[in-house]
Amino acid sequence: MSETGGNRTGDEVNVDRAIRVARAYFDRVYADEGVVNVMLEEVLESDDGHWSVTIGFHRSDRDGTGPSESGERPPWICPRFFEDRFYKRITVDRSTGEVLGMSIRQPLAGL
Amino acid sequence: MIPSDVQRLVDRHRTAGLSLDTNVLLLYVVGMTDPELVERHKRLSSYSPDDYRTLGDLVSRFRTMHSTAHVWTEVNNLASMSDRRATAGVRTTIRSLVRDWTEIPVPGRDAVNRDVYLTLGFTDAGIDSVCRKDGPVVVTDDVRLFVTLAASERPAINFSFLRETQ
Repeated sequence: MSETGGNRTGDEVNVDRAIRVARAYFDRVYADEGVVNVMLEEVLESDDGHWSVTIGFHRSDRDGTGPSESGERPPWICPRFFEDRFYKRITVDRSTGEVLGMSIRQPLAGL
Repeated sequence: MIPSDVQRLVDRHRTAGLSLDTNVLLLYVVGMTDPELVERHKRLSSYSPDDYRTLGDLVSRFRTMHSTAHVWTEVNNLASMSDRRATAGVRTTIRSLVRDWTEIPVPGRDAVNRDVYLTLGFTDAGIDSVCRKDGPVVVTDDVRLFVTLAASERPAINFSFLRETQ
């Protein structure tokens, strides 16, 4: 799954670049999927030293946002927001900036 | 630049205050000591000095700051750096903040009795046990803790939301 990265420069890919790479990859893969509320959710250094970037989103037909109660709170302070939310973890090679893979992330699994 | 959704939480909870989870608090104390230390700290590899400045901007919008002894203990244990002078500087910052911030008592029994203790661990389960709908806003970089709090309508900010807009 060689993607996006950039040229090997000898320098490590910093976290800001890893986020940009992951987001660009996500946007391209889901360009025709109708996704909304796309947010960066988490960035970690994985056990093998690569960047692990989690992106959350809703399908546009199930956007997780009901009628606004008062507008005083952000949309995510609400159980419904999380009912149909999807999470993808994108692994970015720290040396090359290439996307190594994308997998499903389930933050509530096991809770 | 704070997103409007986050600003609404600030407006609503400005007096109730703010609380930071372990990683975010570590970012805050290391950055407050010296922003350039952020990139040298092995536990902060996924952060930059700009992230500290973003966090500092958020903190400045609240009237009170809160934490728990468990979070402070973790931060203190993670604060060590290879440079002794830097470690002393970070600990000096911790001492100052512990003196100034409000400490929320968290009985260990309450933490381990939470269902989430098995997945989130002791310290985050402690945060979960004391987080109230009308209480301080919790800032975390852990998506599991964020979802746990926000899905039960408690005030939480995923710090990653702020990073993308800086």
